[in-house]
Amino acid sequence: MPTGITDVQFPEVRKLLHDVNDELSIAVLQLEMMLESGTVEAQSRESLEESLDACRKAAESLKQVWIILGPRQPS
Amino acid sequence: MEALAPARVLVVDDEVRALRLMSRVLGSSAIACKTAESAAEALNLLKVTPEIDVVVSDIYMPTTDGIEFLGTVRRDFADRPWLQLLLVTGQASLETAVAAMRLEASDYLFKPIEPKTLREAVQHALTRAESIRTVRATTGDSPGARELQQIADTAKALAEDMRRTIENDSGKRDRPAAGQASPARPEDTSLRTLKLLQKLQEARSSIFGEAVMPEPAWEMLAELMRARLAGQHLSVTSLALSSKSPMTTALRRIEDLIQGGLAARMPDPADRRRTYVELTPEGMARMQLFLEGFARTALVSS
Repeated sequence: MPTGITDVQFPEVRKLLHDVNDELSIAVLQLEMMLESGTVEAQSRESLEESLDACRKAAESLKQVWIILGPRQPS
Repeated sequence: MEALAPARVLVVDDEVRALRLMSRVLGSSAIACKTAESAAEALNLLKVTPEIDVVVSDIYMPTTDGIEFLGTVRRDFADRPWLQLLLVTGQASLETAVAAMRLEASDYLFKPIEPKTLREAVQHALTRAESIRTVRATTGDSPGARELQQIADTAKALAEDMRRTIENDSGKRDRPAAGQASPARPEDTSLRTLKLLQKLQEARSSIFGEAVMPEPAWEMLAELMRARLAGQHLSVTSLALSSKSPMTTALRRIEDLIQGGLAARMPDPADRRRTYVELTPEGMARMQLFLEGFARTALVSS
């Protein structure tokens, strides 16, 4: 499937995707740790849980992007 | 506050915030860890910290590829076969999965990692490392060491049988070249394999305890392997009986094996009411890896 991304651009796109996923990972770990701590009040907990859910959905979408891009290696 | 035990875990990631968070996650379960921001730093830490049993490493790092780093760890620390490698990646690719298998990685974690997943994976790896260290502690010409040597030989022979069977399967598509030795016929190996398996089964629990695999699942995997090598079909009922556990537990474990991609249900073409269970190619490959890994570990120690 043509992606419009050249072989030259491909490593940069991969790096950007990794960076996005790394940032999401940090957010997920941070939010999970806050929720685990048990010191968060109910209203804040709800917000944190929604944020966590949003991060997971974003990560899932990112996986789909990897699949669409495929395993093409830079030339 | 309870003091943490000496660090047995090394976490490697070029991202400092990720290191800090993973350290916190593990610390909250009383798992102390050391951290390294680069492969070079991690290798230095491993040199001066022999008590490290588990290395958790990101695969995608700017200066050194994580797979390359873990390959160096396996090579430079070959005298520490108990070292458990956990790979962390953001992308599932076939190449990385194959590389992970070659490195005998104990687990493969996908980002974003859930704290619970990280803790469980590290805890399992620590238990496994401890078991292997215990095996290695049996040294010298003691009866234990001799028994271990025999078991290692058994595992090696079984791995060889598995390899031949896998080759035999692929040989159905690609016939062997003229002059090449023919793979052993299933009936030639079945009796020997049965005996080897029995020996291995008897010794396994005394060496590994529950660290390697839950008992019913292991018993059934071994039975599936035996059946595959003997060219036999196993019904769900026969397989469940081989687990030596209650039927409901056995059926759950069969589902686990199927869900895990290690086994698959096959309809009996002669009788559609019957279903067979057999090892998948993934299951075969994993059993072969396990046996080779076990043989290598035990042989190094003796």
